[in-house]
Amino acid sequence: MIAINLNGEIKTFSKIPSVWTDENGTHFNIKEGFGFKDVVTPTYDSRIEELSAIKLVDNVYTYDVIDRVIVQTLAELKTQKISNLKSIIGSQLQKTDWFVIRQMDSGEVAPQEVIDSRANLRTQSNTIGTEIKALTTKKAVLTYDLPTFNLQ
Amino acid sequence: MAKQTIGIGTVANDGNGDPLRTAFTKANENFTEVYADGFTSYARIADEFKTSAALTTEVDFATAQVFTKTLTAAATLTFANTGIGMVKDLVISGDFALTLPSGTTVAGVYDGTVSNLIQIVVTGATEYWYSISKSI
Repeated sequence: MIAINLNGEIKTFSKIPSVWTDENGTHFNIKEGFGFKDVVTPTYDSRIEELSAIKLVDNVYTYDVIDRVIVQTLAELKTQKISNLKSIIGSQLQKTDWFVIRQMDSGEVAPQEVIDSRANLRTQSNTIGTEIKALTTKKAVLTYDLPTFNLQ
Repeated sequence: MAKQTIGIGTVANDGNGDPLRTAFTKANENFTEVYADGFTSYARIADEFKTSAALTTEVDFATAQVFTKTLTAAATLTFANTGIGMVKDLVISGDFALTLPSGTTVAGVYDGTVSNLIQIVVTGATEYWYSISKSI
């Protein structure tokens, strides 16, 4: 990405335009110069951070990484995160629900590995839920990565 | 019809000129041809509309119709003797930046790897439209 300062306003482009007109004329086939400078985008965690307005630093355009304003309360964030966890666990349990339903209907016992996997999922859910509840900052909740499951 | 020249003798009143009626008949026939449709032909067009010239940095609209240049470095071209309605053609090649006087509207993309035909249409005192075609 590149950018140029036009009368005080910094305008960004994915690449140098094929045609560019300024006070000196209409320019074709430009590859660099003419006021265009590279844009360096710093890495940031979009869950808790965002980019400031673009600015020129050391001959490149770049951004400051600033904290994102988080409007939800800590409790709301925890509730949301735990809800996401339950949704993930629920979708995993759903894959083997039919074993349990069949056992209730016909008495055919579900395989032990299925029973164990489901129990393990619930244990993990409880453990993770406890960890989330113990978090003390909004950032910690937002950056808490829920595990991925792949129960067949 | 070839142009008919009125005979005027060698010196005044030498009796060798065309009679008056003959002279004006030639004049009328010449004008009849000039005013007839189709009189203007490519051969009668001025050189500035049918010649090609190598460019340095100035595109002089009064000198040629087609201007050619191979860029060996970034180049800035200027225009001279432009007039509203004039259309000129630049055949430019070379993978370098090319700057022309500010154009109000531009179509096409210059490609430094091929030959480019840049057509300039003068639409105002300092208003130009550029369109670019490329060889394939």
